[in-house]
Amino acid sequence: MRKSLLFVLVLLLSFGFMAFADVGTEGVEGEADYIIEDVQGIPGGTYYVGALGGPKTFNPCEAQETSSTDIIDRMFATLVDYGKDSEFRGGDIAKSWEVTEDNTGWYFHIRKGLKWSDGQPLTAEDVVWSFNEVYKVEGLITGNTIDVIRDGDGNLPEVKLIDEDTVLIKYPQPFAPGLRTLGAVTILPKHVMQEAVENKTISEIWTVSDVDDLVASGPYIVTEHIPEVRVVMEKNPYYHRFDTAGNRLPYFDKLVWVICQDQNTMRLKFEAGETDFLAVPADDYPAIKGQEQEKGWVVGPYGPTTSTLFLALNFNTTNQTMNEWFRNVHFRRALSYAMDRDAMIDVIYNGLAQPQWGPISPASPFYDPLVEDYSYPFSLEDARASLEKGGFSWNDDGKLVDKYGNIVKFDLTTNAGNQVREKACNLIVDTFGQLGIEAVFNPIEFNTLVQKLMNTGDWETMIMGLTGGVDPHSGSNVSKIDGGLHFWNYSPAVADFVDPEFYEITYSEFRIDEIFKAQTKEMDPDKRFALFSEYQVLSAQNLPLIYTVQQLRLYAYPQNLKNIQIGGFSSWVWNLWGLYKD
Amino acid sequence: MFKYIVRRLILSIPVLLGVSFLSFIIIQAAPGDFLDQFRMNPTFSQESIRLLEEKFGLNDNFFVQYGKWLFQMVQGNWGHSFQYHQPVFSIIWTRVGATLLLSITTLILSWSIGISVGIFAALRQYRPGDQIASVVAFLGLSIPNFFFALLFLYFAAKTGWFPIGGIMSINSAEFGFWQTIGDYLWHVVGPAITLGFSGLAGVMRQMRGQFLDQMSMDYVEFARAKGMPRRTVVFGHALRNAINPLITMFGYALSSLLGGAVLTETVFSWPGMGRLTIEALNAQDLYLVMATLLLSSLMLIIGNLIADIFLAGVDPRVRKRFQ
Repeated sequence: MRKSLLFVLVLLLSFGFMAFADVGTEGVEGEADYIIEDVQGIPGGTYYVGALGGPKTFNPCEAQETSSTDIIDRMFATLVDYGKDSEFRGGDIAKSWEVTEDNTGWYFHIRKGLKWSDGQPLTAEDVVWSFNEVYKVEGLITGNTIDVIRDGDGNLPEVKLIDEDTVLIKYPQPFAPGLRTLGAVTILPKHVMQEAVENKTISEIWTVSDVDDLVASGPYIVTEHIPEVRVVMEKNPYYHRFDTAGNRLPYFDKLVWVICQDQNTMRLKFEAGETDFLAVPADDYPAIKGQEQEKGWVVGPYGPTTSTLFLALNFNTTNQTMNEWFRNVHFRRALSYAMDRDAMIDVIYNGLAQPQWGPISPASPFYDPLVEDYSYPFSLEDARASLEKGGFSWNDDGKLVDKYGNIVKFDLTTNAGNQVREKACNLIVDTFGQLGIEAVFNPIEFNTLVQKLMNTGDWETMIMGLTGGVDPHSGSNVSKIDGGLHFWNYSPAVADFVDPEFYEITYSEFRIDEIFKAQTKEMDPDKRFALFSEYQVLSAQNLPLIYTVQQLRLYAYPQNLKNIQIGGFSSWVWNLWGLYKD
Repeated sequence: MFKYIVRRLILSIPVLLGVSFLSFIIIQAAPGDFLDQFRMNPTFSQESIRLLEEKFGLNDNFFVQYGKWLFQMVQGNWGHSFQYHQPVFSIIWTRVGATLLLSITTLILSWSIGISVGIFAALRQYRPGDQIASVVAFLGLSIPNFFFALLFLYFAAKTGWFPIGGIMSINSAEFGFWQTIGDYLWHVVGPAITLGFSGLAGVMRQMRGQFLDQMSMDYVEFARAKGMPRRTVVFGHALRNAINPLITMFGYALSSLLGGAVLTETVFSWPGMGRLTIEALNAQDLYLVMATLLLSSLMLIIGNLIADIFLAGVDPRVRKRFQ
């Protein structure tokens, strides 16, 4: 009873504020720095999208899983705007920016006259507050923005208000990935969240039950949430984008996320016309493509996705003989030759994938096609040659033996239930068998796998995947020698299960570590690209992780959905404001 | 009577404690914890993971964690969900409506049909009506729920008479009050028939057996011999005596009201408690799992208590024992 009274009170108060704000700021409207987009469309209508699983929270500080972030990201503008392939499009909340004289930071000029969805002004003050009072505070929120914005040596940026509309974000040293990471940070509404931050209860606000408290700066705001059924987002009445005809964007009045339990339901709903976009699973692609004409859809593939699938070998098992094999580059090359990537593409992805040779996805602007010269196309002869070079031979039964006569046999694992990885493992076991290598496939449950990976080092080989960001810097934790996810060859300083007596690193590992330290300070984009190019070639030559194949992004949408442009990193979301149906 | 209820409630406290301790051990014995997904994320530093462990209380030892949880429990705070960042009860609350809608419809369906068909079959023992009812009952018992659910979905997709899963239509926001009610009922038919069909068989067989037992008792023969009308014998005496074990069964059925049905809910995309529990288990959302488990135990205890009170209501012998 008391709770509901309080609720009514809060509601009344917020309505009061809204009315007040409307009257107070009417005159400023004309001076605002709105973004004019060169698009044409018909305002109105609803855009239905399928979502796999419902959101867990609407709080941008807490959300981790895509079922929540897919929705939250539509609610918030960031400093910088990114295009369909994640290139810089210009400013979003920031109108423009310039690099400081000493090359260690940026002056962001915030647009004038922006407003939150409740009509309150969105100013440089919100930007500074978001960084200083929320993201830079250790242990305040569950999200890891604090790690993302740290520079190469772990320093946090200094964030200062220079004048009414200018924010200075500055590191103690040059930090090249900074513009991209800072530009993508969600700016929070100070006027709404301040109290929760001061009481340290920010983690508990904006849960999936608190739809009425939300305030947004992006194109849409959540107005209704029915658990496991749907999330309804409505147009933000104060969004800062207009089309050339003077219509306030976005065109769609509503964006509805239809929550589905699994891929099958999602496909059924799309086929029934209940949703307007489908990220097509490779298995379903032929069936969906077959209906393209009849149903009036646009169906197609777009370049590779950013997810990776690789074989990792544990350099620090308790078995030193085994470690010697795994640390042998010729052995790893042989394994790469022995992977039938074409079969993987056909069996796992229905032919809708491409082989991957280096650690950076071709979807990334940092991808250097040079790695394709260091490829390992399927060939058992080449694999045998490489094994002989590495000192291996075959015994009378055709089993591979090392130079001491030990039969080469190891466990192969992955997380049980992941069909893609399990299929890949089965194919690998088969072709390795043809080389006389016995890989024993034994999938285990995800949490157990993580424990083995991080806490005990009790694994031999595994098929795994990690999702990459746009900038390879986001993978520092994996590539650096003392990184927390350098799991195939942990430094004894990071993992106590690694015996310092047997621990060793190779030159290539050392050089990659050097590259990852140097790239953060390299402000010249060309030189930085060259560093990452060297990293890709070193990885392809030495195969610390043996990459396999990468799925293509597959999409389907009805023909009457206009202005949609599929991108490598962003799928359909990057220009959500411009989509419409005719 | 009142004293008896109080005594039963007090006795249930050690049971709940035992259940909670065992559940806590079993959940914690599973490898890993909620933070494992973060540990596999390249952008999380180890320092952040450590701070999160602290924040969620996952770095304490087992007994400290249990003690803390118990201490809060006693004060009425069932803990926070790691996934949802809100008190577990407010999450469970969002699923109560759908769960009750399904379980109550199922209960009504299986019990009303089960009891009437059971009596019908007993009165026509070994005749065709009885045989048919038995075959149907065994079909219901032996077809797995998930398979029956899939059959129903196939049927719904082919005929278009019923929706393919879900709890409401996509355009339900535009519906009026009665239309909304109708929409819910239309959606509940599939899962309710699936669950009701398997539940019905048990009730029916139990009813039939008990009823036949009573009908062969001496007092029934005596009543008939002295010329009492058949109706009075059957419904006034035999049925009243046959109903006792069914009331006990009903108590158990009550306990599953809030438990949910994982498989059926999954096939029908029904937003019930079963799926919430499974999701929480998968994510190792400790306190949410604990809350759902404890709630089920609580319902079991309450269901049994209610059954015993009902029993006292219909059976003077039981009533007498209470005094």
